[in-house]
Amino acid sequence: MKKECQEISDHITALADQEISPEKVEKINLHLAHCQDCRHKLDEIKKIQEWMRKSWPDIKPSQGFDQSFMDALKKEKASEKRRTSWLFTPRKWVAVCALVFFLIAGGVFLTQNKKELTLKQYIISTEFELISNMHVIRNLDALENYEMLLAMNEIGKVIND
Amino acid sequence: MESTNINNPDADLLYRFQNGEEEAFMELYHKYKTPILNYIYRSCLDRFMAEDLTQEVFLQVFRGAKGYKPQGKISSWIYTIATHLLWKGMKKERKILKVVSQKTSQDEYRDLTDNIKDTRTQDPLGKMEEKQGKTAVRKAVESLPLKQRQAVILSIYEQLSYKDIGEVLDVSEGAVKVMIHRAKKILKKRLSNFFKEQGS
Repeated sequence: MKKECQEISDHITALADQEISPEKVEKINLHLAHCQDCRHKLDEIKKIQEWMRKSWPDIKPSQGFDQSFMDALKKEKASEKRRTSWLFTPRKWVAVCALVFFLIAGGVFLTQNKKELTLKQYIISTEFELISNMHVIRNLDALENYEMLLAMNEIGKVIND
Repeated sequence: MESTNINNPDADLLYRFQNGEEEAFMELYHKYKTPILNYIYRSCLDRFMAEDLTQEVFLQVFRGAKGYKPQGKISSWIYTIATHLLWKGMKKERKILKVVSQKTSQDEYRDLTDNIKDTRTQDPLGKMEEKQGKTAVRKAVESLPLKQRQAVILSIYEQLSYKDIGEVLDVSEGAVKVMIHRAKKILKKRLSNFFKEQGS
């Protein structure tokens, strides 16, 4: 293939679609006037386009198409109305503001009450622990005494017998 | 935007709709519903999906039109919405790799009626050849990769310029030129036998 033919070949589709600058069209037309091969290629492209148009005619929307769209549009309008009416109701805005206020206040309250123990509170808590431990020790002593009494009682019974 | 735009009737319709004239939207819908339906149908090869998506396109136009500031053609904007919905829909349906023709019952019905008409013609053999040719061309178009097919469809059937096709498919004008050139090369190759028989 000649260099000029190659160049024309790259633009031949655009030429068939009339998507080429007037200067280039002039140049291509000059070439086509004496090159049968390129003329043939252009004819083929045009033929394909013509056949494509003929072979695949437009379809029309089905019978209920418009009605179905109108129903969908109605729903769309209704939901749009709901969306906008919710946003612009003053009562809703007051409710949202109150909710935000309570959330912030609640957050502040919770963080303030989460303080560490003071020294006094710490002492009291450890003393309480000590007292609880003492109580256990006392109970253990009592248990020991009780066992001793039981043993003495047994010994007494043996002596009497 | 100017209050009236005689040179750009679509922009005028949009302006009127933005100013509360709902009839202007309906005019836009009636003007573009068939081209959009055909564009989607030829791309996805499924009539029911095409009708559903076409309705969704115009619902999106309705939602977006009030805040839309036209930068290009209104038609390109509508085709762009259609393209995005189509890609989304096809991804969802996993039909992107499907290249075989999917004939709906209505298409088959149309083919059947064509056959009946064929038998009544004076030259049934000639008609048969024509029908074979049509089927061959259609199948060849359907077998193109999706983006190439869309570029060809927008160019041949919807008569959009390369610049507008680029906007719709989100590629450069040069890329559109290359895509269409390649697509037509493929079509030519696949249809060469048919054209030889036709004596071209």
